Amino acid sequence: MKKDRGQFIILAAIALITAILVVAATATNSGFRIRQSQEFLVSIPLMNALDDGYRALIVALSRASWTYNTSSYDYVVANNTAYLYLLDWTKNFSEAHGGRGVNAYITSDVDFQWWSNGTMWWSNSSGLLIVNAPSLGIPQFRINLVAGLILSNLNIVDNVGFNITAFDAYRDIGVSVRLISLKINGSSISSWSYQYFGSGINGYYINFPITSNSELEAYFEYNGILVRVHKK
Amino acid sequence: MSKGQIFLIGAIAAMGFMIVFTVVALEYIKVDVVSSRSQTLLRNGFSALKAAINSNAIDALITNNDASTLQFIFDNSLPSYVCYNFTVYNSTFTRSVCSVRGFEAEVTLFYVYTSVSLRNTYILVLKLAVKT
Repeated sequence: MKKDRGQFIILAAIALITAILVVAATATNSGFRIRQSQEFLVSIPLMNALDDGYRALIVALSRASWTYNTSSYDYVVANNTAYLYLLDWTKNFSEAHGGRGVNAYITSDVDFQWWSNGTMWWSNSSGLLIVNAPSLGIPQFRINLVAGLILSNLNIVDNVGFNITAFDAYRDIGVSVRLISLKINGSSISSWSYQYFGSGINGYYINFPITSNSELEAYFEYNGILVRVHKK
Repeated sequence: MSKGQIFLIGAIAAMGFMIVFTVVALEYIKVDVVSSRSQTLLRNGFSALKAAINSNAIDALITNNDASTLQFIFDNSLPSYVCYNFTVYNSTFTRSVCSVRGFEAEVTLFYVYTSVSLRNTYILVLKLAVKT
């Protein structure tokens, strides 16, 4: 009987070890990965809000800046344009992720400085992205967003052209901008040559008499955002 | 009943318990392995979508109905055993690209995409399944 007892102990031990090894091996290959995957799954709406919220703010400002220009610089109309666009974005976001119980919306306030006489000009928008995701354990998530184009350091070189420095307000780096239209002393200039010097310095060369006392009116565009530069 | 017989019955019961436990555990894990496959598809789909967004391939599909870049991205960023159906739409517009027609999606990924150059927002839907 003692011999049988020993055999069963060995048999039981082998069975136990085998069972543990099988379960451990299978769990290692799938169970841990599952947990990580589920974390990824729930974060998609949040990642989408963070990823696209900034782009939405750029487009809202872009639309607002063009409306501002065509509405004879009516700030209320321009701000309303941004508001309506962001409302539409919110609706799209809810359509995409509302089924998961996640909603997001953006509030924004646009700001234009198009008349500064020789210092700085900008189209800017500051926004607040709010994501409600109670179903994901996040009652409310808030992040401040900024979008805009800032132009400064207008430097006119007599009878050559002018340089101007452009900054992306969100990334805080110098950028290349597109000159859309140009007037010197009230005369429209239809052609110019362009050179980007880096660090946000944009150079424009024109075949037209220009001095530091000339009146200059120019429209610049970056990411669809319009800025008017006017120097008397 | 002798001590040895009691021990024998105990050992058999223990082994039986272990076998039942192992079978139940493996069944449970098998269910989650299927779930894990969906999660892997979701990850692949998300990476493919991000690549498509960053490359402006979606803008090309919207503006020129040019799906070549988008198909190239999906064909190369998704595993070869995965079939896809991609749709971009908004209130006035819908376009689709697919690798195989009429498959049953295992996972569906929704994403909101704002095109800065087109100054508009679209909803992206990417349906994925493992080829049978």
